[in-house]
Amino acid sequence: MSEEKNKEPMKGLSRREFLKDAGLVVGGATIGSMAFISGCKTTTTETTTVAGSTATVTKTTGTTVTSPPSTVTVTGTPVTKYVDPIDGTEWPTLDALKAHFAAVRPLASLAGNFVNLIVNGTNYYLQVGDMEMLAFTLREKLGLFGTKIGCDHGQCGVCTVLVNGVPLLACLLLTIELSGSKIQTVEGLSDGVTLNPLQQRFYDNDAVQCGYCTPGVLMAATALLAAKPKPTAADVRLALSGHLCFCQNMTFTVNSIAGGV
Amino acid sequence: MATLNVIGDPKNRDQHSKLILTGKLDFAADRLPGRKLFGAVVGATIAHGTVTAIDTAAALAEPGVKAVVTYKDVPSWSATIGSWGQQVAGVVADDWYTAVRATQLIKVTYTPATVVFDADDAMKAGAALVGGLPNGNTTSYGTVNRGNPTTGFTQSDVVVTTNAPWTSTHQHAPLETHQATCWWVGDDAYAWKASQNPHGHKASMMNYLGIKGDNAHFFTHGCGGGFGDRVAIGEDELIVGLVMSKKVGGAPVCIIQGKNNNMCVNTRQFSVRADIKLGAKNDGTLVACDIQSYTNVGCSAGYFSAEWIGIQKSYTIPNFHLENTVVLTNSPITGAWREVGVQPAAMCHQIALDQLAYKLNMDPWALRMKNIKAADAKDQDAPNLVWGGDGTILCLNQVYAASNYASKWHAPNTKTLADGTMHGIAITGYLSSHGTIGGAARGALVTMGPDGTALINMGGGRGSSGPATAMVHIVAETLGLTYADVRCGDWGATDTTLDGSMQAGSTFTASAGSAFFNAAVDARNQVFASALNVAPFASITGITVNDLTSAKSVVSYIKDPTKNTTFAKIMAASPPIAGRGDGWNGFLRSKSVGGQPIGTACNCNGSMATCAEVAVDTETGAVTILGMWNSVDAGRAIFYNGVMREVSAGTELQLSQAFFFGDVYDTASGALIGSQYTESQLPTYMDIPGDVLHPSFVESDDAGGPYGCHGIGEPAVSNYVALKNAIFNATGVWVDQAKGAMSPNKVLKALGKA
Repeated sequence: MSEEKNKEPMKGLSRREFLKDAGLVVGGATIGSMAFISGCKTTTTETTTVAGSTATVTKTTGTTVTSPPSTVTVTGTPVTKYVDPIDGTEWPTLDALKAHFAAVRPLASLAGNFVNLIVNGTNYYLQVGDMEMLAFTLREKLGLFGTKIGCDHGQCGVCTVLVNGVPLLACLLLTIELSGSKIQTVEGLSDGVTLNPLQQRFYDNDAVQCGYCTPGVLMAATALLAAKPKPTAADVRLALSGHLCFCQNMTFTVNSIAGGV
Repeated sequence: MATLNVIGDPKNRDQHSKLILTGKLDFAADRLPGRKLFGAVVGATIAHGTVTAIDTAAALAEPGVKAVVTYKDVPSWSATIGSWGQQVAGVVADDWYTAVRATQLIKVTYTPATVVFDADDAMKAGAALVGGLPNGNTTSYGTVNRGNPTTGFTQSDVVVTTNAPWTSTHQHAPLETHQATCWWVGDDAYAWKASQNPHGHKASMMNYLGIKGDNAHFFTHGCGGGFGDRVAIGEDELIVGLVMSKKVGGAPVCIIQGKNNNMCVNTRQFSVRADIKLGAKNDGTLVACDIQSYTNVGCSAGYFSAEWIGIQKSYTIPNFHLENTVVLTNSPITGAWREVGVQPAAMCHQIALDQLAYKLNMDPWALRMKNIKAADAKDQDAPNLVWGGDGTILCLNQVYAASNYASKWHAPNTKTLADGTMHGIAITGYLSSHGTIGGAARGALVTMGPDGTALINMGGGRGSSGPATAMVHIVAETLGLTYADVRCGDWGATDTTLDGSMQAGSTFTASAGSAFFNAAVDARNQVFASALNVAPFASITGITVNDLTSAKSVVSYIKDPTKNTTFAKIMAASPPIAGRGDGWNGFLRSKSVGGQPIGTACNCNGSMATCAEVAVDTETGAVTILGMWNSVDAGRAIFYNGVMREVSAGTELQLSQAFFFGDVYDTASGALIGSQYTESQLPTYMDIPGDVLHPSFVESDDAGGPYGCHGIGEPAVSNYVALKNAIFNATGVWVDQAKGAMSPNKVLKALGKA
């Protein structure tokens, strides 16, 4: 994938420029979810500390919306390996991975923008384009196609993922600005064989139709349940108000989340 | 009907749920990570005219751009423009963002022609020609003549004429936009794309690209909504994707249509207007009906039209005349949609019936019940089949009782609620088009595994996840396997399946179901033949396959069920077995209805009914749904939860159609305004009042599908017009049924307040 870092810019406002100038729009697009969960606060600090089994993450940049409090404690699987996404080799530390990357791909190491993403518990060190969106990165560089692309303009919600526990639209997030973030996609909800309780509730209720909106809905529901384990149907409708569904299987979906799992 | 072990069991779950819930169900763009280029297209900025020049130099010079294509390269494109957004050029680039931005650097020059966007204008003498028809912009889509309507009207005590205005037009707004991943390996073309007709798309590849069948490889798995648009007319991203790939040496190219381009290339529901004249006796007996119907099909080369079976075949009317006309305009192409022709026609005839009832000072429900066909009544038109059995009556009775309609109905504009809003209630119901067949399904395959389980597949689209699951039920029941022992195989790959023809949700259960029924019978007969060679049957003298039966994955000797064995033991000693089945060309009645014996040719259409209860604020125009009772005739519910889910979703979709849907165009230029997800527009979870919706279904068990089933896709469309009639019952005024039919502004306009 060409990075186009040094090319001449096109006339007009670039996608990145637009997003940079419209920071609140990035997070504000998940209207229902964000309004319910966070109250839409902003922060400009960027600190990431990973120690033991607890990652303490302060949200990334001033261009995104984060939830209060601005420091979120996330408990999860400790980071034990760093994987080269190209050759699949595993390394015990980030520095070791960097060294490996530079050794086997010296030109690439010099050319691009690098970000560190912790996706579904796995630490990735990636080269990304200037205007590359997280949805593109997840799908095309990590092969995580469970994150869908619908409108690509923040209208439909199908690309929703959790960024440090907050449901955000991956089609509107510049990957380059997410370094250090902990990302969870639908593939990270379970081991892919045994469903987690929320997925099981959907399964038991047959709350799927075509399935295109379902991954995004699951991620928003995960965030909702983390904030409010026993949501009412009204809570669920508000939390999912940024998620469109053309099959219109909304009642089955709401019933699968309301009351908790 | 014998005891059913699998069909209708609410414990059975959707076969594709786990794939969906874990993010593993793959859609068209979900492959070849990091190994594909991306394509984007340029849509015309005129609605009518000709492309005279295309300058691609600037786009080609853009870093990251690999190639450009124009209508000259793409055989499914044309320089002749029939509607806004018609695709004329495209870009292939390293990434999607570059491709989309580079399309803005392509300069297209046009010679515009007069735009004929409005269908009424298109029908006027001297109107500019849209093109596609030799003389004018209209053509007949058929007539129906029954009895003598002229005489019938003279015999009528009351005659009403309804001039139903153009119905709302709206389009598929699937969250998976038009997408395809295409590549070449030598002379072999490969393509992934959402499809309801994979072998039809393979044929398109062959026809447009001039390649042989064994060089064309088409695949479909997930289909992200908008099913009526996923048929073989949607070659746009498929053919251009393959052309783009060819231009870059066969490298994989993924096209993901942006939401605005998608709106231009998605087919949309056509709009219909009609002049309906109804004549009746004072007691409400219908005597005559005359319908002049007009359907705006846009610039479509092929088209559907309004379907009037909802009144023609639901009610007994001795004198009937229909003139069905289609009108071409420079609006976008139209195509299959939920109850594509029936629903907009019902918007007209169900209003006409209410208007007649009120003219007669009758309860509209009573008018319908007085004239609804009896369950055993033959169609009044050749070939005089029995339609629908008792489905319509069952549905009407169910919503009537569930809603407590008898205690709620009142004359129009007469009941004020405590909060000052006006109360209204209405019931609609008719024979619909869901459940029928659109041509026999072909090529169902049931493959037995060595452990006695079965995989099924077909070269047809899977649509949503429900229909394929229904096929599993039919195969398991027919073979005598448990539900857990039958799974969906690699469905929709043209390299490994037989042509299953087009499979829409509305027809799937009955048409593809009959093919799978036959395939299961074929497989069962082979399994039984193998069973004769294993214990305990091998030692029974004179035993034949006709002496065996099967259920719950066990094969038994009918005369002595204690002599039995499992499918697993039989298949362990059997040569490989695959059953193949084609669908039934016509439906044969599976239950004796009204003196019509089993095996009589019949129709498989389903029926539906709705009761809508509303409160209308005459100051703001706001319509509050107090209750919505939907009933759909499933024939027999094959996948129980799937039927319930579909009826519920159908109820919600038609609410969306009533309150929100509607394209926004500049009628002067034909230009698209807004996008499909917002202005078009899709409702959110906040908009659907789930707690007042009461979806349900009835089982008439008389249809010609396997086990007496109908197709179940496209249910509950009757609630759109039921809402309109309920608003009339509340206010005494009829709202305009164009875009956002029941929106507050429309209600206020009808009340003369806006």
